Amino acid sequence: MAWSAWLPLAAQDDLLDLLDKEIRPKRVPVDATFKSTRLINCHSVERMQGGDLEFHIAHRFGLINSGFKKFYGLDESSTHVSLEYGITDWLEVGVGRATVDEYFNGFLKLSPIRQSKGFPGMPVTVSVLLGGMTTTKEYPDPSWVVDAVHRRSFVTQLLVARKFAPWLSLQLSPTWIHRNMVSTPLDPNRMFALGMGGRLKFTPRAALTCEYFLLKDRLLLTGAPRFNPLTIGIDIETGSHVFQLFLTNSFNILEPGYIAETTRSWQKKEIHVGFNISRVFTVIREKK
Amino acid sequence: MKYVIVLVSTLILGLAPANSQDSLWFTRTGRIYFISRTDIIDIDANNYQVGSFLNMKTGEVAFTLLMKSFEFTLPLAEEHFNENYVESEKYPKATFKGKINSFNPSLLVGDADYPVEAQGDLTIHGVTARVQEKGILRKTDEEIRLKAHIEIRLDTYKIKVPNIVADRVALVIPIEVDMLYKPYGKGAGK
Repeated sequence: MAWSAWLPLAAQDDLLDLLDKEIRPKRVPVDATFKSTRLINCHSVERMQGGDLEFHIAHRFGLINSGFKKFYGLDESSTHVSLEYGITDWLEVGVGRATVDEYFNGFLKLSPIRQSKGFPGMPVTVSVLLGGMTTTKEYPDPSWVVDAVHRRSFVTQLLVARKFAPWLSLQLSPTWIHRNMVSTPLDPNRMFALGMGGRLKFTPRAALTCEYFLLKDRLLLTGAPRFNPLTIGIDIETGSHVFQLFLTNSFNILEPGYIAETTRSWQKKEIHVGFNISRVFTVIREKK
Repeated sequence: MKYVIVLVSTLILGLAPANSQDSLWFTRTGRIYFISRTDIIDIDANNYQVGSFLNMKTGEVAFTLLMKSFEFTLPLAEEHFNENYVESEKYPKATFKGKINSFNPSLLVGDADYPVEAQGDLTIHGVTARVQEKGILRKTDEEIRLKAHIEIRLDTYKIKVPNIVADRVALVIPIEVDMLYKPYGKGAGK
């Protein structure tokens, strides 16, 4: 292209235009689909980045409509505390303890696919949650001779989310639950539920959030009513803390509990106030 | 005979229009570093993918970078930076376009520091403001190094710091620029 050298200077004298031509757009991952590792009850596609440790506290009060005697539910509580650590940017491991049914739990969260702009682009972020838990609660009748294996439950969730705009993110969460022992003969050991939810960010640090699970075979459980859990809340972020405040009909916090064993219903005004607090500590700093 | 050669070559060189690309130096791997220092926490980040041109005839310089390419020492700070402060999805790039004051390239010899001052327009977060930067140029056989220092105020660029974290984010941010240019079209670019 020898002749191009003869073009007048003006054709390329804006160095910024020339930079735009030279620096080709590259693949940019989309960050912060959600502010927290939880949508509310449900895990979100987010996880700790490599070297970060999260101390997560989840708390549900009793029923709001329990009256002054129980101080509108504030007397009662269901909590779950956990430590969750990012081994790499795509692999998180967590351990925790829940008060309801005295569960110890552990999980792995992998994020093999990240939503990205540029080339090659990717429309969604996909994370997989693999969790297991075991109850340490004493059986009501000490004469029961049951293997430890019956104390265990498992959860597998495929979390698929897309940040449509900085203010709008939506997530679908197909969930498979397996309980080695269930509370009534009508409850199935294996259960499928489709979770859905999202957030509307209305300021850079606050968002409206909502999540809902549709339980397959829920209506078969006529003897022991189970309700689809619905939770509505707000996220408030202050630096390295995220506060989530919400209303929910589920009292349990671990997946087999809040998804498969929600016995309270919004229609009967059986609502709990809940909050999650997430505090992130950077344990290992990247060396540059 | 000597005179004829000189005359002919002068004619040829004189007739040929100035090829601006000969005087252009380029990098796509420049480094820009910034730090927010407060008593409570230091937050710093490097961007190793800064694109830049330096025109050795006119002293013009230009930079461009993607805000998302800043790599933070604290990973969580990176998310907050992009999400809450500079709004990288809305304003993905930062650019600078300016000129070195009374630039005299012939002084740039012998692997020694040549102090420079530049003025130009710095655009961050969709806001363009006039800035001054001080630095040095140093030329070796095949490379030119530019090191410069700028200080910016966050409020100039309408980057808001909420009260709740006001003691954790500095209002004046020093920025260090470190570019290693190669001749454009020879090894660098293309």
